[in-house]
Amino acid sequence: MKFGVACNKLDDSREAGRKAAEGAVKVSGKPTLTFVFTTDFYDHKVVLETVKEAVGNSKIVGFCARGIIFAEDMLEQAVAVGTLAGAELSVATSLQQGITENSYSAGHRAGEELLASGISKGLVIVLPDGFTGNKTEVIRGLYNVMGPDFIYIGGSSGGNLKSSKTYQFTEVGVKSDALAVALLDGMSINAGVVHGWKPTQALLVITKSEGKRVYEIDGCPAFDIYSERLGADTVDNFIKLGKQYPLGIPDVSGNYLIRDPKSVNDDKSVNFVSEIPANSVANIMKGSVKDQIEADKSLISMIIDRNAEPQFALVFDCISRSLLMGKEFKKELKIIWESIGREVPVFGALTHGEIGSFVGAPMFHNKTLALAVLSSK
Amino acid sequence: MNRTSAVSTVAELSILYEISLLRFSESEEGFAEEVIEKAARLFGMRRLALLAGEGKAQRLIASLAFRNEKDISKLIGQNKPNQFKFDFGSDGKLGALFMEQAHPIENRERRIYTFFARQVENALVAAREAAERKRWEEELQATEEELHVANEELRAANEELKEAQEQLIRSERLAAIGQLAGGVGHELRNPLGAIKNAVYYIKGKVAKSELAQKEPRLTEFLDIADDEINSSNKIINDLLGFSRVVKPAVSSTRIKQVIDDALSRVPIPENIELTKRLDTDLNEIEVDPDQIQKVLLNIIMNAVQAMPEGGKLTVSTREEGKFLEVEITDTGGGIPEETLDKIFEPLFTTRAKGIGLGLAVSKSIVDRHGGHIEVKSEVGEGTTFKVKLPLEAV
Repeated sequence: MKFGVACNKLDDSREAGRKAAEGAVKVSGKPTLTFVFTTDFYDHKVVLETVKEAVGNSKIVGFCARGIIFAEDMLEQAVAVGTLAGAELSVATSLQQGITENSYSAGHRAGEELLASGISKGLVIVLPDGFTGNKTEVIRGLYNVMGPDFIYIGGSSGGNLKSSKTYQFTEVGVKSDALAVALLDGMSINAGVVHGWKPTQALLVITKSEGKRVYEIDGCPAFDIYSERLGADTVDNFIKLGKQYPLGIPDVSGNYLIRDPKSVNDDKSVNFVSEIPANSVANIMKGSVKDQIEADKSLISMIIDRNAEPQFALVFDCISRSLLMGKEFKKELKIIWESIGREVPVFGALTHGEIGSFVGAPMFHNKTLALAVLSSK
Repeated sequence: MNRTSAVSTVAELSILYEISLLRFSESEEGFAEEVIEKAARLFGMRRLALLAGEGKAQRLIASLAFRNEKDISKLIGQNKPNQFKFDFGSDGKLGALFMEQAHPIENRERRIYTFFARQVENALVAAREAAERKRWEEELQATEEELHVANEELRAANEELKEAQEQLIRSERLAAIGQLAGGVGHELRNPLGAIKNAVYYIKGKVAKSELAQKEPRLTEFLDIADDEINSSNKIINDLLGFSRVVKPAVSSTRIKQVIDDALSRVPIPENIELTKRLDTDLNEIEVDPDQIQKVLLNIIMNAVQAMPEGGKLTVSTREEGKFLEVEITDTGGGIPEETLDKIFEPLFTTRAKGIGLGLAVSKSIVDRHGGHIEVKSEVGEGTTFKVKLPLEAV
């Protein structure tokens, strides 16, 4: 089993795609599965066609993102290609369009297509559109078909927010408002999701919510209560502080599902980046760069199989974490890479929401790091 | 990581509080989704099956990560340390909640899951009771509606019965009055005839004698006596006419002719403007022309008498549904509301002269023809009578 990763920052889509793909294939040999992560600068169809020329019949899964994580670097313009080769690998992919129309159904159909391959365990890489659909429902649809015999990891596509469209792709083509998934079996896989946010003692009850919109907290207009707790006197100030003090909804194993406020409506309801469960109790969370990095290290130490040699790491890191950490973000990437092992290719993207599970069923997260480490069996 | 130590008391209380908020709010589907969402998010459950009912009627209302129902029955029977099953109801007859997590269930977790299951059970029981209540309410409403319909039918039947009773009383009263009138009229006619002859004889003798010159008031009093005899004779004729209302002798009749004949028999004063709007295209109807003429004559005479200061008399005809309608309108003083419903009763009159049989006789005639008379009146504005006669013979 061999892994190859390469990236290219050239402006020309064809050249960048070709050089990145050829660089990866040169190391891995003819791949079984190819990851293609791009930034939104590129013409994704051209990139995909060029990569296909280099990887042959390999299954492909990929998306566009705000940034590419490559070893210890975050690249704002690049095409990154990761190739996995080996006769022991089994791979299937699916590309489902229309997650806005029926998010659950898109996930369900994707799961059925992956299972049709006959693969009964392994890693499911889940890459939905970050700007459309209900990701919680996408994951529920997928998980309801595939069940707990698989490990789930992924993140939502994104861009520089200048365009309302993001792109997802497999070897069959490039789509928008879609879900791209890949199923990989044949190697030892460990994965998890983590953040360093810690609860304050400020508890809030979400008394009225619908999807991503919270109307009432503690029976009062959501903005009034949340902004008062944060000491924010304006909407702008509230949004800024809200990114530093997001909501955390606890689970029975001591983990918190994080939700970021995004905007405020005229009726004082608050829009969040992702769905807020109705009738839930949330803490206002706080966190430092140090806390986040400590949490990263804790996850890495937990998921690295000491009996196996890590060979490839797939990383999905939340875009808002990079914005909050600023210059310190590079420090986080460096520690992640060093913790996994400098000899291991670390390959990933900045995402608009991450997919993974603390324990049990996979969930859609915000402000987290989702990580999968692949080792030889 | 030790999971127990990782959970703060506040977080655990938050979870318990969130579970306590679980309610069967809008629909079974919505509730089921909330159960799945909470089990997956709060507990990290890998699988879940929520079953309602018992035996063969048991149905799956929510599931997480079950591909088919065969999977469920297989897994539920395993009873592994990482599985949790809770039967609803004292004997499990209400359904069950099955959950499976990645690791063996600790006592602390089991307590929380039991609390969760009880909350789900309470919500389902409450929903079942609400559905039962709704069903009862719907049945009650349906019964109330049936009762309402029955009441309406009963009320309508009562109205009909009352009308029939009144009709019967009116008919009996008319018959009794007719019998009495016939008898009285007959008995009075002969003496009145003798009086009239006597007055005629006296008038003739007086005219040829000197008494007429010496006592001029004698002739005047004899004329008064003669007029009153004529009036009395007319009353007797009315009484006899009333007692002789017989079955109509119907024939094909042009109503225009009947109206013209009736109008020709009533002297219309100059201060009354007569307007006729008679539809010439009306079909012939099967009525007794003499009886109908009597009806119209009666109403027209009443109308003329109602306008001593003059006014407008309008007679019009038209077809309305299954009836031919003759409308007679005057601009007289009108009939007060309190007397309007009595005008068809025999012996009811508001005039100094007349015994109040005209309209009663008219109504009786029209009823015998299968028609009816309607009246609308406004004091100070005038009165409209509508005589409705069936287009098809009854």
